[in-house]
Amino acid sequence: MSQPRSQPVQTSKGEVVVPFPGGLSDAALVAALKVRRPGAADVLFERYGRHVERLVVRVVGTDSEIPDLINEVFARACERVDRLDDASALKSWLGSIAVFTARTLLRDRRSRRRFLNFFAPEELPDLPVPGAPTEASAMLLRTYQILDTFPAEERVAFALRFMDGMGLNEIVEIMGISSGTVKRRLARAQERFVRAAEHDPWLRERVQQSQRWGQL
Amino acid sequence: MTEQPLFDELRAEQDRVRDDETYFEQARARRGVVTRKPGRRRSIYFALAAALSVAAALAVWQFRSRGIAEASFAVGESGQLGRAGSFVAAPTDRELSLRFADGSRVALSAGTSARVASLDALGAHLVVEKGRATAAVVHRRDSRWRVDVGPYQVAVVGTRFEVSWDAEEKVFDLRLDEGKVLVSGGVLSDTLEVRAGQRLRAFANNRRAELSGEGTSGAELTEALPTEAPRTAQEEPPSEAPAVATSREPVAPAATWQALAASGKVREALAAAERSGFEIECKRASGQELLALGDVARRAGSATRAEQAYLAARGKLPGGGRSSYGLGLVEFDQRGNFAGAARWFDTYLREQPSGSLRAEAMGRLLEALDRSGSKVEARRIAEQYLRRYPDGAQAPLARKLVR
Repeated sequence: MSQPRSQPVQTSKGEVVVPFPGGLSDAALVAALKVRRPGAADVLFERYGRHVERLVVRVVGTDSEIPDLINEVFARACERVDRLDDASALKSWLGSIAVFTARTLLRDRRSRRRFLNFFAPEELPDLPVPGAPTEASAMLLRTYQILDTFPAEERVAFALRFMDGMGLNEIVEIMGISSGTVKRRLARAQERFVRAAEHDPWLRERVQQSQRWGQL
Repeated sequence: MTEQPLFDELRAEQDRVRDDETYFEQARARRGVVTRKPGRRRSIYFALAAALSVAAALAVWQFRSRGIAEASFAVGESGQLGRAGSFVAAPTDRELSLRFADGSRVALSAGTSARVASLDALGAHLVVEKGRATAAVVHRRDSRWRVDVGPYQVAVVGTRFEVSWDAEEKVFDLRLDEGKVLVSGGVLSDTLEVRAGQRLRAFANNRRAELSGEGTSGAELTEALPTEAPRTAQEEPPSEAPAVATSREPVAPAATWQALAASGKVREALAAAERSGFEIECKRASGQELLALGDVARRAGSATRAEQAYLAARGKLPGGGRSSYGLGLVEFDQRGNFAGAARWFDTYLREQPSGSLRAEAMGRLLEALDRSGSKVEARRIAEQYLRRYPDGAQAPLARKLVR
């Protein structure tokens, strides 16, 4: 199969480079990333940016730090790409970095709250979007307020399973832990959530109505 | 996929918000600018040093190039850079121009004072406290511009307009040259679209508004105003008596929660709301009614119901109305959760930069921070409080904290 070719371009520094074309396989992309080929990082960002965005939003919730978090994931990925042996696992490897980075953010926030008890304006809840359906947006807000009280590991498992709808195997792969550990974390997180939701006017009824709660 | 209808619904809602917030596009726009967040423990000192170096370099670059960074704006001929929170006032004998990173410009007429409450690459939130401003906002699909003028909020997409607020006569005047804007607040009971060639004037003293110009009959906006307009967030009193949203409901003989609340029977009013279905009421009622319902529940001692009504109000009022203030009272007075209360009072101060409860909110914030043990932050707020409200109710506490 012939690969798309790119025209050489001159950079602002006067160097002539051949930009990396976007239509190549993950294997070619990983190879290009490893030799720091110009444009390869951009292709990675465009190809998997939405995937990373989805994962960090699921774990953290809608949050003003999401754009910076996305960029941090890609910065880490480019730094560590030499450690990626199996190029076909690029997407799930990036997902792992995304989840790890989101979890680190959550832990840092918890640490700041616990040890400093400091008023952190950047962590104030984001405003609801004007025109949002009131019930759904309120339930979403309450869900993440409840998740804010969870240990980070349990929150990640819960968010991937229920907010994202991932299967057990996918969670195992992305979190890099055994299925038994994932199941235990999910069970604890589920119990916490149900307990908290029972006292929440927005969630109580819906959780009680759920007929097939917790099937994994 | 899960077979949980609740989470399917939450996921759909989150995806909708995700699209609206354009996180990915923001990340793409910031690529190469932000690569690491400060606060990671192992690299905090390195990051801090790097950030300071970058800030210094940026300051030098800005000084030399007179460029406008995303989080700043240029003031007047000198091009002095202002930041979010800056207060600007035009001299009494000439206008003052403000230039923003997205290319938008605002001219403050002589004697006009304003504050740039917040700003980023996509727009700004400008609060015109008094006087006249002429704005030319660059149109972008994702622009986020808002201008507060007295008790009115003008949501801007891309347009040229002139707006003024006469604080003494309480007259709002908006003339639109290009594009369209959405106006809410004040005597307007609903959001009103104003188009190019139209002029909207609103008179608070006799609760009247007029829309004139192209495509209008020049008639009064009676349809946009309730018989007796609800109070706006800016006009709300600190409220010991519950603020009932409208007087459209008859006081008697129907014992609605509104009628009972109007006569001060808050427990009975809450019971009536429960009888008619509190959840249904939260879906059905307008934003102003929900604020009133939150007041009723709070005064009747139900923190859960008060919180439910105020949260529902947040989804129905531009900028959240005074719901955040009510939520702060719930946390402070009923739950004794002072850290949580501080967050809500701070939210109110951010959401309602011209709100009439600012003094109360700042005083409560001060007290909440003090009680939650956030001494450093409490001292900072105390200094701000004393500058703004030297004779305010919390001035004695503020003085004690800054000593």
